[in-house]
Amino acid sequence: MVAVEQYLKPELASQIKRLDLRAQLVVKGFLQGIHASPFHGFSVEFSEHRRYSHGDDPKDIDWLAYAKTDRYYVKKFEAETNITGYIVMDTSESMAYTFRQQLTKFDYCVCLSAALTYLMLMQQDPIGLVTFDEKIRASLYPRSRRSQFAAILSQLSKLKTSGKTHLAGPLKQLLAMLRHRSLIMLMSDLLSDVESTVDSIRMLKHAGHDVIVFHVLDEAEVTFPFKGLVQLNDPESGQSVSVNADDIGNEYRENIRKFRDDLKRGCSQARIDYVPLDTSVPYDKALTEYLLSRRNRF
Amino acid sequence: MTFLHISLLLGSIVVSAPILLHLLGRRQPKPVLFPAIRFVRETAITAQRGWSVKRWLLLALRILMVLALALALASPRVVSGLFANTLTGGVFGILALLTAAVASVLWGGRRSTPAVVSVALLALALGSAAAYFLSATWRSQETVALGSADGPVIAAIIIDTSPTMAYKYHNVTRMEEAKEMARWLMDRLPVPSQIAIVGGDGGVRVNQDRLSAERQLERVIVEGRATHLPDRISAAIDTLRKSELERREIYVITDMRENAWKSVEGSDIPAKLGLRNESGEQLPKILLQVIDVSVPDRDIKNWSLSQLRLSADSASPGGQVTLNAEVHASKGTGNEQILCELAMETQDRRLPAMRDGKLAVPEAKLIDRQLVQVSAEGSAPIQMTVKPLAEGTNHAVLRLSRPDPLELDNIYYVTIEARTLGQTLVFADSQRDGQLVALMLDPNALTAAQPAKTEGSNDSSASEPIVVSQPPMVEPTSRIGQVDLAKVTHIVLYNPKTLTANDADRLLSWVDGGGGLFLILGPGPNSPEEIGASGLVNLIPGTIKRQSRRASDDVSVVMSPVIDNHPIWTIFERPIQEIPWVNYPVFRHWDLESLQAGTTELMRFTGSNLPAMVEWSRGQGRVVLMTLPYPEPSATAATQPWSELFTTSADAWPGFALFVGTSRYLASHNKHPFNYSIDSAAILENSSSQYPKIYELFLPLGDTVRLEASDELVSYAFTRQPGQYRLKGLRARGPVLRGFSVNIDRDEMSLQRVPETAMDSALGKSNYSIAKDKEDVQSSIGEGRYGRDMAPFLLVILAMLFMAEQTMSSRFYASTKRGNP
Repeated sequence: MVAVEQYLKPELASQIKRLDLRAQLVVKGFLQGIHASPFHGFSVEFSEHRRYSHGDDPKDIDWLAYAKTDRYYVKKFEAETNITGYIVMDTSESMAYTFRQQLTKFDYCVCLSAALTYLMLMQQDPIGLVTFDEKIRASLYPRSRRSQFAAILSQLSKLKTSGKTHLAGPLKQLLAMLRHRSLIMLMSDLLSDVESTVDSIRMLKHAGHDVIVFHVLDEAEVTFPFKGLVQLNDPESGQSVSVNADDIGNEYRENIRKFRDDLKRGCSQARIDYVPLDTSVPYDKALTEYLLSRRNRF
Repeated sequence: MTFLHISLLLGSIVVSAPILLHLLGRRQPKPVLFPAIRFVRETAITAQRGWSVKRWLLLALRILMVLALALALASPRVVSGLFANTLTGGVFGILALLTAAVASVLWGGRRSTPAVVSVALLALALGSAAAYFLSATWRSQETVALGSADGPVIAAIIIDTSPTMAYKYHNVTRMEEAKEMARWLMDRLPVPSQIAIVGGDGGVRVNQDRLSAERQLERVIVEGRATHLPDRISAAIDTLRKSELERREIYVITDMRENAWKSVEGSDIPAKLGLRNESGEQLPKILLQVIDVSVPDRDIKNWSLSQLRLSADSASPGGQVTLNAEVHASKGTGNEQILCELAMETQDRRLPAMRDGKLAVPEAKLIDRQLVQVSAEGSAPIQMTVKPLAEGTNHAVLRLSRPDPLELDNIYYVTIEARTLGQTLVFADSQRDGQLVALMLDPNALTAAQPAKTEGSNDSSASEPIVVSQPPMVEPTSRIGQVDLAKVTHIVLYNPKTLTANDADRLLSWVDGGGGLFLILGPGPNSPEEIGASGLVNLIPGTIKRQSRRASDDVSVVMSPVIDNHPIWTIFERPIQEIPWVNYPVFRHWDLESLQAGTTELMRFTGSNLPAMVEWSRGQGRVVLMTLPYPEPSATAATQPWSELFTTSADAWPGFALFVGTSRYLASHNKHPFNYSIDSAAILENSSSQYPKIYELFLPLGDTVRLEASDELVSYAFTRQPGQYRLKGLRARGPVLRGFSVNIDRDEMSLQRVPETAMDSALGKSNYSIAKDKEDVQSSIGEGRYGRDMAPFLLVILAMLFMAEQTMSSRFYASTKRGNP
């Protein structure tokens, strides 16, 4: 594996391997043939009988059942399908920030992407990669081959952060790129306007895609650990402001909390999974907890 | 605002220390990368401003601490307690607002509730303190604008100049005490205040500066007449009402004697002090403070001379004059022997004169003394004789030798003029009548061998002749043309039957030259026509129409005075209206009508209202005409008396006094006295033939005034100080020395304390307050006027600033330390 060790801890890989994804992970399409397909039709597995009614295709009539019951029943099936996953990663300048953690937000997202890629590939689901700042910078077509893992990791290792965060444009581009219903795993600090961000994500959802938002912030961005007089410089805009951290700490934390709550509320209204993360929480733990909580929900 | 010493304020330059430390100690913020700046920027500006404000506030607190400390050490005192209240309330109010602002910021910043509540409670406490002081300001001066609380004052300091203010107590006169109090008051007036010192003349002249007021105060002296304080207060109110300054204060410094508060019924002061004028507009309040510098009644111990009576103001050279007076002892005295001394100045033609800036007067020699026993509240008569009188003006002093607290009433100044009177000539058709007239004028006229006495008699009894002069000469009317009238000063033309025109002209010429003719008409002429046909008609300032006659039992017609004041009346001790003329009916008189211009009717007959006595001024002389005979002519006295004015009984004194008084008046004798009371206009006859026209007047206190004679008189009205007033003029023969004395009316020197009711009546009970000393003045007027020491207040402020600085700096530095590991 190319630089797998750099982005995926061996213990995480083993932990994921141990997971009985069939039983424990209910992420649609994570494991081929296990996911319940939303598409009824000719495909593979009988689901239930239903009384025939006008409009049903006559070829769906179960004549064997008619013979037994002298009533027309149609057979319903659930198709077992693979789901295409896309890791959509923010590479704006702000993602390169960390205050006192080992991993920048970008590194954290890379690790997270590696884990998810591994998980998807383990389920033999195709997974692709899309990176963006103000627009889409790079993409890898989804594949389910084992080599895709190395390809994605290789791509991630080459990425450099630049530009500003702007979700609406890149997500529109992404929407145009997608041909099938896909699982979009968005990783970003989302440091832009809440409403436009949520609108952009909802757009994906409304197009039928499943969206998981991994909102990654640096630990300093969440806890605002500064004290005394500091001059804060924004790496994206270059703006700066001198403040007494003691005076504004509480209010800042309140603002961040509200920011996250707004995003969470916007996502939940669109039935989008919103996963708030900060770099002080080990990504493996965070991912495991998320998957567990998702399993419980389903 | 005053300070213990202004240089102590130099300590305030230490405020530069925190400023320098602040500027030098400013730290640069630590730069850090932070992408989520958008969540900071919204609050950063306000927070940064708050932080900056906190920093500057800390600096301001430290500066204020240094300033408060410097000010407190300089011990500032604001001149007005009113202003102090306003200032204190204002400072507390500002602090309350600031604290309330801090509380609201804390509350808005979601700080802990205890902190917010604590600061809010502190703001409430400060607000309460501010409200207390500001309400105290409002209560203390309802009508004075707050803005003027520390402003200038217009103050009238009225000083009682009554003679009793010369009373010494603890070796200080009341006047000195009053001046000291006035200076003390002026010291406590704000610097730009206007001050009027109301002294002897009662004029309220406002001084714009303290120095002028001080000079004016220095000129205030004890006057010889009791001050009427209500008048001065009223005048001061009028003046203060015109001032543009809002704070108006009147201080009356007095020894609280009743003479200064006489006739206070109907005083207009309460109305003037009213807070609203007639149109209902509110007027600024005038503070009226009476300051009592009196001597406690129990400590008053005084002897005085009173009731001085002179047997005459003038006499012949070598003669004598008797003085009668009383020595009176006040309540607190014991039974003591008091020595009275009479000293008379020697004649010295070189004096008075100013030598080395001082008045030099002739030496006084003791000529008489008398020891009297006086008990407390008792009196003892004394009688002394001034003799021998040298020709000219004689000054003498009667005094008590025993010193006491009030010296002014221990002395009487006496001036007696001794000069040879002119000749009196009596013309009468009847020798007997002429002699009778002469006898009436001078009882010794017929017995005296010599015309004038040269040696004074030792007899000082009351029977001593009032006037010692040359005895009158008696001549028949027919000799008018032959007698030399040049040396005659007074002619009595008694009951002439007829007169030649030449004689009449001669008499009129003599009158025009300054003579005094007393024309007495009687039964001589038989009819008005007979008078008209003779030269008599020229001497009569009118027309004799007829002779009125009544029965001897008809008492309906008497003489009655027409004018109240005339020098002739001075011979009577009582007012001319009180003389019982009604007891002396007139049965016959000549009817005089159509009076000429320049004629003054002195007395008239009741019923007919025709003149009984008229005065006719001609040239430098005058003619007095009586239209009935007095004394009664010998020819008709027994059978057909013209009146009952002349009888031999002692009851007929009014007619006699009228006759003698008229004669003296015409002889210019005793026309003007030489001894006056304070504020009386002193008048001296000044015949241009005898006296110089211009004099230098030496006042008792040593000032000199130039006097010029006018209308043969020298007058001086400003006799405000007791003592001897000396006139010095020059004639070819040498200096002419004259003078008069002025004494204080003893009624003006009563030590009786004024009752409170009189004060209330004069000033209005609630309009004034009385203070006995400086502490009383301060407590009476209050801090609203005399200021307050602000050091304690500043120390409180300093303590509060210190606590605030400590709280803020502990937070500031602690957070700074945490922010810069």
